[in-house]
Amino acid sequence: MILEDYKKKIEDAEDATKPAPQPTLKEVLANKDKSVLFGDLLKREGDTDLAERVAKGELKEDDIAALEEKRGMFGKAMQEAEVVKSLTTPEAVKDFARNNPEFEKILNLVGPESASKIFQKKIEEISINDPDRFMDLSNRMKAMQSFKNGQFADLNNEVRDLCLKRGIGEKRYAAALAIEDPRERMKAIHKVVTENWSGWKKAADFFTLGSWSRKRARFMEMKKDDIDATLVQLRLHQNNVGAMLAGTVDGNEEMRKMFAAELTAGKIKGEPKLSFKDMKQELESPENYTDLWTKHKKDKLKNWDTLSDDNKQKAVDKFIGEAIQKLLQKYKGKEGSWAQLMKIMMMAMIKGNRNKYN
Amino acid sequence: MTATELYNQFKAFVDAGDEKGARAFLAEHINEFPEDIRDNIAFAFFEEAVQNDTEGIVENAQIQQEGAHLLEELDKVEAMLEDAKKATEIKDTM
Repeated sequence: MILEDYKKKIEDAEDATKPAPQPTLKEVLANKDKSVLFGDLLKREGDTDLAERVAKGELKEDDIAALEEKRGMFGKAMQEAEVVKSLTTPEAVKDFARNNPEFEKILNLVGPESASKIFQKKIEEISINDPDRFMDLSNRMKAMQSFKNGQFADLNNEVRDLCLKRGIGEKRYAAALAIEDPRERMKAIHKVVTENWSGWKKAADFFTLGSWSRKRARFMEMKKDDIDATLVQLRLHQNNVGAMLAGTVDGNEEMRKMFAAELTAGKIKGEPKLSFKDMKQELESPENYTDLWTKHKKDKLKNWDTLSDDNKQKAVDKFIGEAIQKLLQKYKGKEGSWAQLMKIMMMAMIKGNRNKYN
Repeated sequence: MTATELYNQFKAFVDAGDEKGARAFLAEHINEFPEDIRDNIAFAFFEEAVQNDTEGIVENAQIQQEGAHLLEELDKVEAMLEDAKKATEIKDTM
């Protein structure tokens, strides 16, 4: 019953954020920003030559069919981006700043209105250029929306009622949460969560043994003593699941995070996160790029002195573009905010070092 | 400061292992970076804030949904076991 109610609420909420119709190929190509993103999608899909013809506005007649084929994929990505953009309002952005002091400082300097527009543009970009990163952000933004709309609160209230009705409680959580020393508190919460989690998994295994008809047939063949023993085991499982549930009701942030860690442990194995400490080995000095340029010029631009200023600038642009592509390739899929910031800062350095490329 | 100077100062925080200082430096100097870099830095901090604020919310709800479901199913097993127990008791009296 709880599940059905919850699912219905989620479906209703999804109906309310139904995507806008997909743009036509003509509309995509006529819009400067959209056509750049469409070109990025073509490159991502391996259609580099076609992407270049789109960028230069030099399309051939045969290209239209190929473009139309990719338009659906692009339109779908844009529809999904629109949903996330609609959740990235100045007010929502301000809400996220409340518990994040550095982000709050940035927001005060950039301004919420301007920041919202910047982020909406970035959301469109990553929906094409970094789909995994986009999905993570999209899931989190939607979860926050559900949280604010009270959908999670409703579920929480219903589970609280269920626990009360069944007399489920877990005194050990309250005891762990009452510990003042933060390290000791986390250790105590972790102990209770892992013990309950282990019990939960056993209960799930118990329940998944065979179909209902096989279960019924097996139970009917059992002797009374065996049934009693199984009932004792079953009640233990019910208590374990109940204890875990009781810990989620009105849980505080530390407990929520601990549950998240237990739930995702061993299930999600993404690329390792790049930590702040890792950056020390990874961040290069501007001089490295000046040296790379000197070598590049010596090996590949032997006619440098005879080039016009315009062609020299184009050669430098190409060098910078290739260096950034190599950088992005090297750290592709690396997760974590420091991985993002490291790429950004290295890009800033490679571009900022431009006057040394001469 | 030029972009290279900003980068070198940021790198000095990294080399010194001063994470707090590095974060504060980026936040304080954000408007000194070229626009595209500024936008990327702001967005990275935004994504981090979203991640911090939503961590555990989805997982908590998942446990609640699955837990409620699991209890309902265990109740069905309990009812079946009780039926089987009654059946053996009837058999014993016959």
